[in-house]
Amino acid sequence: MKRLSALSITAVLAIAACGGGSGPPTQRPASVAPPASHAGQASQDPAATASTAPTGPVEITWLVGIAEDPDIDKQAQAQVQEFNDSHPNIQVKREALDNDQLRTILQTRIGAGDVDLFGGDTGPGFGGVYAKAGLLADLAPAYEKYGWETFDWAKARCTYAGVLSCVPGAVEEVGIYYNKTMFDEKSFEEPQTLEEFRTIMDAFKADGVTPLAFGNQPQWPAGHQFSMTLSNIIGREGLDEKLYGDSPWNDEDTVKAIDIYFREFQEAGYFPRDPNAVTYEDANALFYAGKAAMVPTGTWLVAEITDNTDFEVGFFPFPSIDGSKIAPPAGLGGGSFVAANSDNKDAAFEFLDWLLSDEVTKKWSLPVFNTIPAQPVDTTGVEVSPLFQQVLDDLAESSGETSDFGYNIDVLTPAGFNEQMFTGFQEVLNGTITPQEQADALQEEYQKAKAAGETLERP
Amino acid sequence: MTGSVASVSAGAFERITRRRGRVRGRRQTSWALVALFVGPSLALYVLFMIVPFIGTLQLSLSAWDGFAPEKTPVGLANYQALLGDEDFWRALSNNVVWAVIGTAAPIAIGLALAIVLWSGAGFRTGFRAIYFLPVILPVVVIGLVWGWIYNPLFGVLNTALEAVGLDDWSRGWLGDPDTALVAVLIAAIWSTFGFCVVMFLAGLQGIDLNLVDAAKVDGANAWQRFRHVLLPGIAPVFTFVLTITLVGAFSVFDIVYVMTRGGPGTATETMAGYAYKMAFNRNFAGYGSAISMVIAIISLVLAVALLRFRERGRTR
Repeated sequence: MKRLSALSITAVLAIAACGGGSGPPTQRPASVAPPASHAGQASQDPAATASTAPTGPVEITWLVGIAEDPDIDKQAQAQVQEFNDSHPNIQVKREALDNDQLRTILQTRIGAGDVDLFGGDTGPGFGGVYAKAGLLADLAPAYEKYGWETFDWAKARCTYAGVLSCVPGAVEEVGIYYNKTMFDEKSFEEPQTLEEFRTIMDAFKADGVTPLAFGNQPQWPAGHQFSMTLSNIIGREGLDEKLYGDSPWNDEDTVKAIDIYFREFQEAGYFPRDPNAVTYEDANALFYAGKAAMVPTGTWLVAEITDNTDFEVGFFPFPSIDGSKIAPPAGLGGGSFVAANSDNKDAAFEFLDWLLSDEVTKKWSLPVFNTIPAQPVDTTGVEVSPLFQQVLDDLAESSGETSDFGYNIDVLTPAGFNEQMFTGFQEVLNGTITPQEQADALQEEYQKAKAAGETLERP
Repeated sequence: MTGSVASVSAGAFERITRRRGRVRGRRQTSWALVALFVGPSLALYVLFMIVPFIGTLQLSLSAWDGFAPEKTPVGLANYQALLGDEDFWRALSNNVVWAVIGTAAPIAIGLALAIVLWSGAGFRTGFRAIYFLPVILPVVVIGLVWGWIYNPLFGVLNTALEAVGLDDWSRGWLGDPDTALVAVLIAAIWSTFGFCVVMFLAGLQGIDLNLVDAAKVDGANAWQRFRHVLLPGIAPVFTFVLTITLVGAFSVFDIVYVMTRGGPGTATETMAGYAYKMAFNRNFAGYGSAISMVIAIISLVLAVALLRFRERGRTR
């Protein structure tokens, strides 16, 4: 019996003290697409770059969030191999992990000096926290040395307390993909107004087709949908006032943005049945299988959509709401950071420079990963899918950062606010809380974060 | 005489000294053996259990975002904050539900099946292996499989309900706050009852069959034999299984995370999930540690109480 007692106590300690199990999996999009092009750098010649490399072989450990599509992940690995083959003095070891898992182990790995380069969100909940803790290297010297032509707005997203701490990843936009064949059969055009959008969705619903494949089991997709409606209603200026000014998150406009998507659309039956129980992958699969007419998500999915559909796919921004401007959420999907304690910073910078080169952009970023760099892009001679070309055209002129675009809110807001978005929108969909209550809760979280100095400063 | 006494004494002293030397040698040998056998596992236990436990305790008394080089000591502030945290209490209440259903159900099912197998059912080894199979499956796999079963788009559960005309019953089981917790619990029960079967069966095999026969001769019916012969016979195993499942109920995390991530909303949020969320998603490592310590304290109190209760039963 004593042995049993001892065993039980041991088990209690073992189970309880370790806080509950192993790291979880995730379906959150990687958003850490390989950075892309830049024009006219001295480092385009591999031989030239190799000459500046350290004398002995250096191994860089690069931690990134895993891509949704295993094929894309394999291609990313092949891209790294190409760098390793052309740079014998630098060997990049790429480790792809679930994003949540990456978050869980990253700080420990950095502390152990085991990470040189890593990808992640540039917002206050990730990049901001690492910068505040002094874990990020100052990249300004590298920008100067290599002449990276990153857009100023993108550099601003990578700047924390005046220190330029990351290389922006891809520019992304959130919108709605649609099955062109289905639209053509019904002679539908891309909707310009919410009324037209409702008419289209009602028609598909009447045919037994899911109008909008929205899966919210992983919770984060709701943040993107909210970004679409709110960006349209109040535009970039209005969002700036909420993010950097004193405009509250529980005003009439915010409640309206929540109400339209999470109550009205849900009650109208535009989503798959019980979207809170539908995974992101299952929702996308509905679209790929032709069982849903549209899927609301971001441009990071272009490559996967192209690979998985045998019909023509189009992309349009969320339509105008009661005469509002159309301002689709756009911005940085993530960035690449160099650990402050890395012994191989120069090699990491060189690898980043290679990733940003025109050569790599034209060979990998645009045609393979379908990612749009946050810097001037020369697309001459690059063959891309019609869908990606449409996205490129949409974003090219403004680069996703003008008053024509809104924001993807969750990359700019603090962790507590995001958590409230994720859980609260599920509750609105369930009817457990009202849009007003969710807006109030968002406002409360934002105020708390603001008081704690966790919100972003106006760029 | 004196010389003789002296001679005897000297001989006795020599023998005693020699014997003591042997005893001391044996003692030294046995301590060395103890160190050899216990040392490595003790070292591992201290390194991977005690040290993290103390580390978590220290963290729970500090304010730390998980990144900053310095941790600010805050005394019991994290624990005080927990008292007023509605989300924490909601998570705790989910754990209580989990503890009641998630402990009672696998034990009841496991005990019933173990008795059936012990009573002479055929293919005992085969059934035992089948029942135990879910225990060896990774939790992620269990979560995914049950997620498919419950899937509102193509899940077999809804398909089956609709096939028998129970369309009104079909729903998104994991997306409905009224059913999500029970749905996850069922998956968890499925994954643990096999452990109970094997443990109870092992306990039952240790019972003296003469006692059962004697009870039969005395006219005891099946319930009376179960209540007064079998149950006391497997009491130590029963306590062990109860302790393990109960403690597991208060630290459950993985299956919930895989199936619902604590949602919809916070309908399936448990303390361990909330601790993870606070520590890693919201960067309140100190607060998350405080929640982990609460889990540890609840688990310890329950385990000690159960063992004391069992000990008292034995002495009576």
